[in-house]
Amino acid sequence: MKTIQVDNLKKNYGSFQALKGITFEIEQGEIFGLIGPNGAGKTTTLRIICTLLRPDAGSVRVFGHDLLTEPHEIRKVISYLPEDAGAYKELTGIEYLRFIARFFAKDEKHFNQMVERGVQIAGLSDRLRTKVSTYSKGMTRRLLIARALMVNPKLAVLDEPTSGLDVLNAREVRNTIKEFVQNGGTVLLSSHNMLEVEFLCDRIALINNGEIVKTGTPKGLKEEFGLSNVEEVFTEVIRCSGTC
Amino acid sequence: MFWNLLKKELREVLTVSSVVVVVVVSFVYGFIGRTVGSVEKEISKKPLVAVVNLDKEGFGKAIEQSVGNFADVVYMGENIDDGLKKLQDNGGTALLVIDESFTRSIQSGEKGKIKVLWMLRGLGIADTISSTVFERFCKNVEDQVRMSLMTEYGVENPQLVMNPVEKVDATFFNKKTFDGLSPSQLLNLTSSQTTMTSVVMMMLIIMAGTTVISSMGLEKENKTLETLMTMPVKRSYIVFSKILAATIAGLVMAGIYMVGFNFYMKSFTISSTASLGLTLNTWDYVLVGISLFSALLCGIGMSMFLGIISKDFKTAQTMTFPLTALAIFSMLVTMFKDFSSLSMPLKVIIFAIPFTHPMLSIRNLLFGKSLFVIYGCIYNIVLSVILISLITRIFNSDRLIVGVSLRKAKRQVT
Repeated sequence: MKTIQVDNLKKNYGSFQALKGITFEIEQGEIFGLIGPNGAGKTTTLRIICTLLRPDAGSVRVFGHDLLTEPHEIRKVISYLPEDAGAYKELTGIEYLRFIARFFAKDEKHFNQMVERGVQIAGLSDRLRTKVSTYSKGMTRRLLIARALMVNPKLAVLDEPTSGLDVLNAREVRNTIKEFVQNGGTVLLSSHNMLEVEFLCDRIALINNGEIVKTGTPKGLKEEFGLSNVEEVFTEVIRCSGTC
Repeated sequence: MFWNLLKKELREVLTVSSVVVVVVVSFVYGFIGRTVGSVEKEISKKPLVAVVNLDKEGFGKAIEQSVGNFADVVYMGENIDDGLKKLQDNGGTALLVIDESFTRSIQSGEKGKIKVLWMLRGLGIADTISSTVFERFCKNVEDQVRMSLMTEYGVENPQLVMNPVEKVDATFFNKKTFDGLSPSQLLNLTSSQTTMTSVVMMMLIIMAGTTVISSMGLEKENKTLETLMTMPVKRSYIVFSKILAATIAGLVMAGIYMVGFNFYMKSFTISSTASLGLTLNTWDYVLVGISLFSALLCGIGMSMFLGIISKDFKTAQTMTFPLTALAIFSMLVTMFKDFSSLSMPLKVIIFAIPFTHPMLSIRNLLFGKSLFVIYGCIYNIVLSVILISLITRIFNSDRLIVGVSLRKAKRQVT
């Protein structure tokens, strides 16, 4: 089943064309990575899919729901983690998880299950009882990953999920994402980290100047270009994007 | 090196928004300056008065002759009704009635009586200026009589010489006559209550507004709002919960302030307006509450809008100044001038500022102008509905993320 169907998506900021008609699809249970340089259009694409921005042209369907006519239905099945996001500093970690769970829980039992799952994913033990304002960047990011995944969304949209994290924290976050997919979830993520992309993603789309220039599995792309890693593929594709 | 640093610092500090804020604040102070300037002009202007001289003897004649030096006399005669009519027709300040036995009383060792009926057009500080000018004349009359008595009789009866004239005041304001009160006395009595609502309102707008603007800036910077907007919750709920929470917090603060401020004002107030028959009933207090609530709702709506157009926490902080300036402007203008005595364009501007209505509510209700308060509440509620709708529209569009622009949205995610 198709989780996301993006067709000829266009978005302008004034006279700047951020997206010039991108098209891709994501299957259920996939980890799909949007890879590209800064300003390529990754965050704009994610924001459109998450109903934060409206497209100027093209169509987006998430689990069959049309973005323009059924945004509320889409919000029920997705969970979005923006890049460099924070949490409410006056709340404790556990209060923040409870606050978010209230939007998704069907009843009290469901609510308690969600919070329990959030506590497990965050792995912050007693620190969940202290205010978010006292957390380090790594702790905040783990709390936010927990917040995004505890509600068991059908689709998790993660913008640079490990950005700014140290090696250990980043590794834990990656494992959490893998586990989430093994349990039936679908992930759309953007990243600059090629190792992360290779480790996590089932398929990737290379995006440059608002256009998708290549789509495929990391393995397939490496074979196609005869290169040893995704970083080299990325450099090669971006270098000759539109000219090779 | 130094210039490089200086240039960068200037670019950080002198942003367009900070310059706009200073321009707005300057405009406010410029306006207040102009108002004060007109006060100075008002002081040097002669008040329009009518004189009914029923005393045809010495002192009465002397007053008749000297009054022209202090005031422009629109009527000089013996008929009170004619004098009053002339005064009203010309928009005059006071009717001076010299008692028929004025001279005889003084000469026989008793106090001479004069009565002043003041025509008050408003309860702002500037509205009582012309009456203050004529008060000076009344003092001068006493000085003149005292001088004549001392020249003629020496200090035989010191008590009379010191205090030869009994002046009886009555102030006509808002279709009601207040016996025994001059305009300044009436102003002092009522201002103790009206000042409280003005100061409380101003402080509330500054505090609640600043909190909302900063919180919006912080939410944008932390991307917590971005996260919230992807949740399965109606965006109108996000907007309304934010506005309502800030308004409730504001009302709680208002209650605490009012209790504290009431104690503070009581230490200055000698007598209450109740002695003049000016009291507020339960319905009036309900109206004051609605007026305060609706103005707070508008103020917080405006704050939220300013918070939306601010890029981050730093910009949000500079955005609090226009709101503060508006609250101060509203407070100062209504303290200087009564709404009824303002020019039409200024009336429109002052009415359009939602904070004006609670500031004027107690004064208006004391003088039975409850309709004005009701209109103010209706205006504020309509304005807050418009503001909330506008903010909800912005929340439903992508302008919150990409910034507010005037470009019309063609497609909208709802």
